[in-house]
Amino acid sequence: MWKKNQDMPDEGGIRIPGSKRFRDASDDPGQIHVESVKSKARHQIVFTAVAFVLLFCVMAGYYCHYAIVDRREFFDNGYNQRQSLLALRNRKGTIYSTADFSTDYEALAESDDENNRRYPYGEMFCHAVGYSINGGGGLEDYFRYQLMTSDISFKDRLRYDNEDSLYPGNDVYTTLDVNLQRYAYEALLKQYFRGAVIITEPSTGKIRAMVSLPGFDPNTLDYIWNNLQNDTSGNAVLVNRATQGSYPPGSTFKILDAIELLSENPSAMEDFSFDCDTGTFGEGDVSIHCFDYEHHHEQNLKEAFAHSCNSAFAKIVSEDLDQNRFRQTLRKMMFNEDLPYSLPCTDSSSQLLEEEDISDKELLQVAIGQGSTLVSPLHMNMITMSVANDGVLMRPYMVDSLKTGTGEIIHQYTPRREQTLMDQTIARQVRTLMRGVTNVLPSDRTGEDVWGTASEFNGTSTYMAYGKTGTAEFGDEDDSHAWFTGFTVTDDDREDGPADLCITVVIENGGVGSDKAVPVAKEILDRWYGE
Amino acid sequence: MNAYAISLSKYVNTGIFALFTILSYLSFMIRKKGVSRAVEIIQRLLLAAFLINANMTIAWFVRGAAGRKLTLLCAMEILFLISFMVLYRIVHEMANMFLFNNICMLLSVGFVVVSRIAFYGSAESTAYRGNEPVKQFVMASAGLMFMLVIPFFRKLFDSMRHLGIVFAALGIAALTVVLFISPETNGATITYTIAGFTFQPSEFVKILYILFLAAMLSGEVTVERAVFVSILAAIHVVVLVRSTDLGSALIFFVVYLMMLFLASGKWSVLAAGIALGAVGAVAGLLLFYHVKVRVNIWRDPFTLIDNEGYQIAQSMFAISYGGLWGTGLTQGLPTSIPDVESDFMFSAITEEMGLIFSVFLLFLCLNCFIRILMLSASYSNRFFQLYTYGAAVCYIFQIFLTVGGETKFIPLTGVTLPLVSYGGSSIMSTLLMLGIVEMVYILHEERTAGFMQRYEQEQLQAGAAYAPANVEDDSYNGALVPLSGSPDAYARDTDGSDYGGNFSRESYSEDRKADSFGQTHAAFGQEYGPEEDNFPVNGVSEEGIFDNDSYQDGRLSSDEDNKTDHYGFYRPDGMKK
Repeated sequence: MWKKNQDMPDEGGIRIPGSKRFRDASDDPGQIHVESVKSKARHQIVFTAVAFVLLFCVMAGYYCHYAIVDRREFFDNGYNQRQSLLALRNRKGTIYSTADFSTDYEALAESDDENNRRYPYGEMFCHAVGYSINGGGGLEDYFRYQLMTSDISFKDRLRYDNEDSLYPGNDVYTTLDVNLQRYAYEALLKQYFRGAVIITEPSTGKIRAMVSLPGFDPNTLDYIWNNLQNDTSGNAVLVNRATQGSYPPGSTFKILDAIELLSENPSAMEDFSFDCDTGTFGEGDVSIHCFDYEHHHEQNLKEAFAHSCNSAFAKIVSEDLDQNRFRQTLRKMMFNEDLPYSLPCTDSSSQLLEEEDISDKELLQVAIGQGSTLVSPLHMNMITMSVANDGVLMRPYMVDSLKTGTGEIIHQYTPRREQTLMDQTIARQVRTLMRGVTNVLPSDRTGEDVWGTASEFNGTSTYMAYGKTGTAEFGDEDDSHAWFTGFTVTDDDREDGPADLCITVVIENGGVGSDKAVPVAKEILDRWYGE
Repeated sequence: MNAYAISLSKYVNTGIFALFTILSYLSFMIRKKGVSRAVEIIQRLLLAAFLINANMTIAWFVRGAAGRKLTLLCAMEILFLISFMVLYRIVHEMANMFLFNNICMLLSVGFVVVSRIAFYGSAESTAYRGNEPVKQFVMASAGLMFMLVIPFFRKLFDSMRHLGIVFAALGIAALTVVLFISPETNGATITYTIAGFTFQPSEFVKILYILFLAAMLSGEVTVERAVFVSILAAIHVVVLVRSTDLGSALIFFVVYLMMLFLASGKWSVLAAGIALGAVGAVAGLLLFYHVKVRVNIWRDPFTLIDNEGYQIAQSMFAISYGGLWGTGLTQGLPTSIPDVESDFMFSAITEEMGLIFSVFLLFLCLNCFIRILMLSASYSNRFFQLYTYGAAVCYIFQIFLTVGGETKFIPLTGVTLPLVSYGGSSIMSTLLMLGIVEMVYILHEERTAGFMQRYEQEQLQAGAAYAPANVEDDSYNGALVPLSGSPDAYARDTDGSDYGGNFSRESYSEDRKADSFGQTHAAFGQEYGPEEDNFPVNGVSEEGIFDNDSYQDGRLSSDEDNKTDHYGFYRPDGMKK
C-alpha cells in the first residue's frame, strides 16, 4: 500500500554536502540541510498520541469531577464503610445553638471521647438537630461528613497527638436559639397536640426555632427505633412537621388571595367592598359560608381580612381575579415548585395548579384554602417572611457557620436573597391587612372597632404583631388544623418598621386557629419579648 | 511522627511524584547531555525518596515484626531499583533512560500500594500478610533482569521479521491451550497454575502478537497480506472472547487495528476498524450475558449495589473519599473494594494518595506512551517502527481500560494496571514488552552511531576524492581505525569542537527544534557537542545508506544477514564515557 521511491524520497532526510549521493539535492553546497521528516507514518503516530492524551484528559476530568462534586453523597451512602473509619480517628463535632441573645452557645449534640453521641436537650431539638443512626435526619444527617472530619491545623494535631486523644471534629453553629426554641417547645407541648412551630428572621432568613411534635428523645432513639418503625398511630414522630408536614392552609391562604387581588387591582384597599349580609356566598350547592355562619355585613378589604370573611374571599377569587394570573402568582409563590431550602422538605401543591379545569364549587374551596391545596409550615412561613420583608424572600437557613474544633471558621453562611415574591407596595398593603387581624382597630369606613381573629395580640407593649389565622378543615366537618402565621415589629413607633421575627404555628387537628394557634404564638412571643 | 505520617507524608508523596513526572516531561526539551544525565540522577533520588517516605509511613502504622519486614523490603526495593537503573545505564549506554526511570517509578508505586494493602490489613483483620509484596518485588526484579539481558540478543531481532507466522501460531496455540485446560476464575478462563505461580498466558501472548503483527506488516502491505494478517489476528481475538477474557480481546483488537492503520497509512482503515469494533460491541452486548451485566453496571452501579454493582460502587466511594491530596497511606479503606490489588489498584491509589497524585500517575503513563511513540516515529525501519508502536498502543490502551473501568468512565473489563497492579504475569509481560522496546532502540542507536562514524570518515576523506565504492568497502567495517593521514583532524572532530568547517550548527539545531520528536539520539551528544544531541539520522537512513529497509534495495549489499555485523558494534572512542 505504500512504497518507497528511492529516486524521490518523500520522507525527507539529510542532504550532506560533498557527498556524491546528495550533491544534486543540496541547494547550498556549504551547508547540511535537514528537512524535518514528515512521513505519513508520523502523521498517524502524532494522531495516536494526541488521541490518547485527549482521551486521558477527558477521563481524568470525568472522575475528578464526580470525586469532588459527589463526595458527600458517596460518603453518606449506606454501603460506604468509611464513616466508621473516621470515628476511630476523630471525635465527632458538636452542634451549637445561640443562647442568651446570641452572646453564648449551648451544645445541642456532642460526643465524648468514645464517640458516644449525647443530646443535652433531648426531645426539644430532636427534629432540627436530628439523629445520625439508621439513615439519619436533620442537621446530624446533613452535616454528617463535616462533623466527622477534622480540619484542625497541623500544630493542633500535634497537640492532640501528644495528649493521645482523638482530633475534634468540625463544629456546626446553628442559627437556632435555645430560649426561643424552649418557649416554642413548651407552648406547643402544653396543648399536647401534634403540631409544629417555625420561627425565622425575615431580614436574613435565619431559622431561630423549629419545633415539631410529637418528638422523641434522640438519646434513646436506638432503643425505641423498632417501636417507632412499627408505630401505626399516625404520630410519625420521626417526621419533622415544620418542613415535611403538609396541611391545607385554611384561611391563611387568604394572604395569597389578597396579594393577587392587590396586584390586579392596586386600588382594592379603597375600592373593594362586600356585603356579607347572609354569611354565605353563591347559591345552592355552589356556595360557601362564613365560619360559624357569622354575618359580617358590609366590609372593605381590610375588614374582610381581619374577620377572615370566607364569603368575601370566595367572591374575590371567583369573580374578581383572573385565574390564569392567579396561577402564575401561585407558581411564583413556589407552589408546585421546589422550595429554596437545603434540608429535606415537602413541596406544597396547589389545587389550582394541578387541575386545569376547576369547577366553580372547587374554586370557592380554593379561595379559602380548603380542598386539595396543601402547604407546609415552612412554605407558609416563607410567604409570611416575604410580606414582612417588603416582598423579598431571604433563603431560610439553619446553620450560621462551620468551624474547626479549635474555633477557626471553615465556612460562614451568609443571608442570601432568594427572590422577590411581590412588589413592595403590595407587601406593605398586605402588612396593613395583617395588622388588622391581630388588633382591635377602628374601621376606616365606619369608625367602629374591628375585632381581628387574632385580636388577643391587641395591646402588646414590647412588640407589635401582624398575622393571619387559619382553620383548615379536613375529613369530617369537625376536624380542623389550627394555623397562625405572622410576624413582629419591635420598633414601637413605626408600624412599617423592619420585621423582627416571623412565626408560623400549626396545630394538627387542633381546632380553630384563633382559639388554639394564636395563644401558642402569643405565649412564645410574649416570653421572648418579655411582655 | 504520628502527625507527620497522617498529615504531611501525603503532601510529600504527591510532591515527589509530581516533580518526577514534571521532570519526565521537561526532559523532552533537554538538549544538553550533561543536563539530561543530571535529571536522570535527580529522578533516581526522587524514586528513593518516594519509596522511603511512602513505606515508612506504612511501617509507622504497621509497627512490630511486620513493620520491620516492610522496612527491610523497602530497603531492598530501593537497592534493587537504583542499582538496576545505574546498571542499565552502564551496560546499555545508548538506552533510553528516561523510559527506564519511568518504569521503575511506576513499579515503586505498585510496591507501595501492594505493601499497604498486604501489611496494613484488610477490613476484616490486621493479620500479618506480607507475601504479596515480596512476590511482587521478586517478579519485578526478575522482569528488570530480563530487561537488562534482552538487549544483548539484539542481533537476533532483525531475523524475527521473518517469523511472523511462527509468532502467530505460538500465540494462538498458547491461548487455545488455556481455553481447554484452565479452571474458571471470576467467570473467565484465563489462567493456569504452574509450580505455585498462577500464570496468565494472554499477558505473554501479547508480546508474540505484537511481534507477529510487526513482522507481517513490515513488508509491503498488499490487500492479500492485510486479509491474511486480519484472519490470524481475528483468531486470537475469537479465542480470547471464547475464554471470556474480554479485556484482553479488546486490547488485541485495538492493537491490531492501530498497527494495521500505521502500516497501511490509511485513515479509512482506522474508520473501518472503529465501525467494526462498534458492531462487535453491539454483538457482544446481545450475545453475551455478562457483557450485558457489565454495561448495566456501568450505566447505574448504585441500583445494583447489592450485587453486581457493589465493586464499582465501592471503587467510586474510594476515589471520591480521598479528595485532592488523599487520605494519606493507611488512612483510607481501599480493601473495601473486592479484588483491589489486581483490578482496582488505581482506585486504591486515588483514595490514599489523592486525585492530584492519580492525575500525575496518568500523565506519567502517558509520558511512557509518548516516549515510546517518539521512538517509533524516529525509526525508518518498518519492523522496528511497528513493534514499538504496537507496544505503545498495547500499553496505553490497557491503562485506559482499567482506569476507565475503575472510574466508571467505561464499562469494567477487569484488566490490570501495567507495572502497578499486583500480579506476576502482568508485571513480567509488561517489562518484557518494554524491554524489547528498549532493545530495538539500542539497536537503532547503535546503527545510527555506526553511520555517523562512517560519515565522519567520509568527511575526512572529502578533501580527496569521494568514492561511493567506499561505502561498500569492507575496510569500513570492524574496529575502524581513524584513517591515516589526518589523526589530528579526527581528534578534533570527536571532541565536538569542530566539524570540518562544513557544519552549520545554527540551521541544524533550528531544524531539530521544529522536529520535536527529540531525545532519541542522546548518545551523540558527547561526540558532536551538545547541540547535536538529537541528530536526525533516520533521515539519512531513508536514503538507503545503512538501515534495514535500505538493505533491501541492494545498494549497500545484497545480503541482508551480514548487515548487523557490518555495522554492528563499532563505537568510536569518543562515545565511551
